[in-house]
Order: sequence, then C-alpha cells, then structure tokens
Amino acid sequence: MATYVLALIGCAVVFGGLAQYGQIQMASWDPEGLAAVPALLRGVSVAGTLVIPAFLASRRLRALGAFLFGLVAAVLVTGPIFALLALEGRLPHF
Amino acid sequence: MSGLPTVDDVRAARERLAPYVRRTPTYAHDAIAFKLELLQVTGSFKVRGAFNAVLQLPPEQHARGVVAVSAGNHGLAVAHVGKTLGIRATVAMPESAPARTVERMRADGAEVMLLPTVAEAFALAEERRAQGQTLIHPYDDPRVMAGQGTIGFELLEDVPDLETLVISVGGGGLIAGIATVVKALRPRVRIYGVETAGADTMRQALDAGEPVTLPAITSIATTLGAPYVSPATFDAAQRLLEDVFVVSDAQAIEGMLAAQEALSVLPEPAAACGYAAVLAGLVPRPHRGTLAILLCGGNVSIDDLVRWRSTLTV
Repeated sequence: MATYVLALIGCAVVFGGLAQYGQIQMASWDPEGLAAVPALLRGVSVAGTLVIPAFLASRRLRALGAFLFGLVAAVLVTGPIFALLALEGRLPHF
Repeated sequence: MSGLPTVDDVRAARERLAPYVRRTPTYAHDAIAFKLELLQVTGSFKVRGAFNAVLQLPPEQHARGVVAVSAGNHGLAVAHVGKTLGIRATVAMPESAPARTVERMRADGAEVMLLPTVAEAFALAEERRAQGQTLIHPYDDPRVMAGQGTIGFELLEDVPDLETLVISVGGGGLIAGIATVVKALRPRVRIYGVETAGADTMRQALDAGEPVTLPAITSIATTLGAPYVSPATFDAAQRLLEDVFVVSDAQAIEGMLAAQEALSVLPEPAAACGYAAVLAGLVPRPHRGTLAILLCGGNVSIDDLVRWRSTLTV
C-alpha cells in the first residue's frame, strides 16, 4: 500500500508538472489548430497518474509500470514539440 | 473597454476590414523584409484599428458619432472612417498639432477641436462621450488591437520563414495585436519593440514592472507619444516580446534616411526607429530565417526632416 501511495504521489507530481508546463507553453498558440492538444496531454497525464502506480506497486508488473511511466513522460515532453512543428507546417496538420 | 484580443478576433477583423483597407506590400532589401504599412490609407496602420472598432458599433451609436483624441495618425484614421461610413467624427487635438494634419481631417469632414493642451483635449472627448458620442481609444481597446493585428496575418503570408520581427511601440496596441497573431501561429518568432528616447513609455513600464505615466513626450516621434501604456498592452509586452529597445531621435532620422535610400519611401521617425535599432546592432540577427521590420507610418513632411536634420546631429 505504501508503495502504491508513493508511486501515486510521484506520478501526480511528474505528470502533472509536465502537463502544466506544456499547457503554459501552448497557452497563446492558435486555438484553431491546437484546441485538442492541451486537453489530450491533460488526459494522458491524469490517466497515467491513475493507472501506472498500480503497476509500480505490483512486483510482477513493475517493469511494465516503469516502461509506461517513461512512455507517458515522453509523450508529455514531446507533445508540445510536435504540436509546434505541426503549427509551423513542418508536420502534417491535425 | 480593455483587454487583449484573441487570434480569432483578429481573424474576424481581417474579414471585416477587407473592403476598407489596403493589403500593404512587403519588399526585401539587404536580406531584410520591410512591410510597407506606410502605404496604408491615411498613411499609417491606425486606420485598421479605427475601422474595426467603428464597424462593430451598433447603428444607434453610429448615429450619435464618434470622438477621438489624437495629435496625428489616429485622428486621421478616425476622420477617414467617419467619411467612409458616413458617421460624424470629432477629433480633439492640442493646438500644437501640425496644420496640414488638421487640414486633412477637416477635408475628410471631421469636426476638429483645437485645445491648448492634450489634457483639455481629453476633457473635451469625455464631455462628448457623456453626450453620447463613442470614444475610439487609439490603443486601449481590444477591437482596435485586433484591427492592427491583421498586419500579423499579412506578414506571415509574405515572410513564411519569419524569425525576427521589429515593431515600433507607442501605446502598445499595434505590437500587442500583431504579437497575438504571430505568437499564436509561429510561437518561435522573436518579436522586438522599439521606442525613441523621450517617448519610451513601454521600456520604462517594463523596467518599473508596471505601467507608468511619462510627465512629457520629448521625442520628435510624436506619433509614439502615448503618455502611458495600458495594463493590457503592458501584459502583452511582458508575455510576448523578447525585449524593447530605445533609440535616439538622431538614430530614428538615420533610419528614415536609410529607408528612403533603400526603398524610396520616407517613414516617419516613429516608424523608422525599428530600422534604426537594426542598423545600430541592437536587434539580434536571425540564425536561419528572415528579419522583418514594420514601417508603420509615413506621415512626415520634407520640411520636418530638414528642420530635424538642422537641429539634431545625424
């Protein structure tokens, strides 16, 4: 239980912080093109915070939990970067 | 009314203004893109904001007319809007305003009220507002800022690899409107403001951490002569600009002459100060993209230039 609570707090701090940083970065960007991105990142952050601690608290699934932790963090870090590239026309616009 | 426009407000403004304003050209010289807004109707960008504000007024306010306080470009713009839309326009001005500016406004059918001081001009405008006319503020109005911001869309179309943008700052409405668009569509573009010493309201506000009121405007760039920046334009400058530089009047005149030589157009000092800042090496050069300068107004006479050159060291 203690491991679960610690993992929950850790995920909330890391994912919440990264999602917040991304949203601040994108705050003044064109809402017409990017309306879905900040909401998507917030969703990934919340879902990761709720699900990943359960994996991390389980001895058998800890490796999967660590992988998912890295994956969610990477999505939150690269999301605004890809959004920026799309906005500048360097990637197909969504 | 205060606050900042959104990028969607500026999009709407662009459609609204299309029948009334020119889409001004952008020309390249010496690897710099110059947006020639001084070729705009009435000789400056101000007409964009004035049209956008007035076109959104309800018919009953059109019937009562509009009033503006201005020593120059904003007054010319409001007079032109009044003439175009058939609306009574009143412009309150200090007696020191150039006679040719007064003549142009009167030729457009505006009622020009000359008062001994700017403070008295503002008092008259307030009086007219109390009587029902609508005050069209030169910059502290999101509709005006949205109108000026339409230049941002044109710049991004004309300069697809825009990396650095230099814009003059008066009250901050122009730069706030353009920065709203450019930062929304190209967040990595670096935007710099430029003022002249003696009209450096935004620089002083940024240094103080809050809007300040200048006791007097002592620069020849009278069209930058807003005595204060509004909380909204100050907020935009803090969030969206890299920096605001200050050049001397003499440097602004150098910028005028350099622009005249390069492009065969004569910007006013308030518009040429951006080029002056680039020539002085204040603005960091872009790494890969293009540097663009907005020449936002050209309401200046050869007589003025000759007089300034005789009194300032150029």
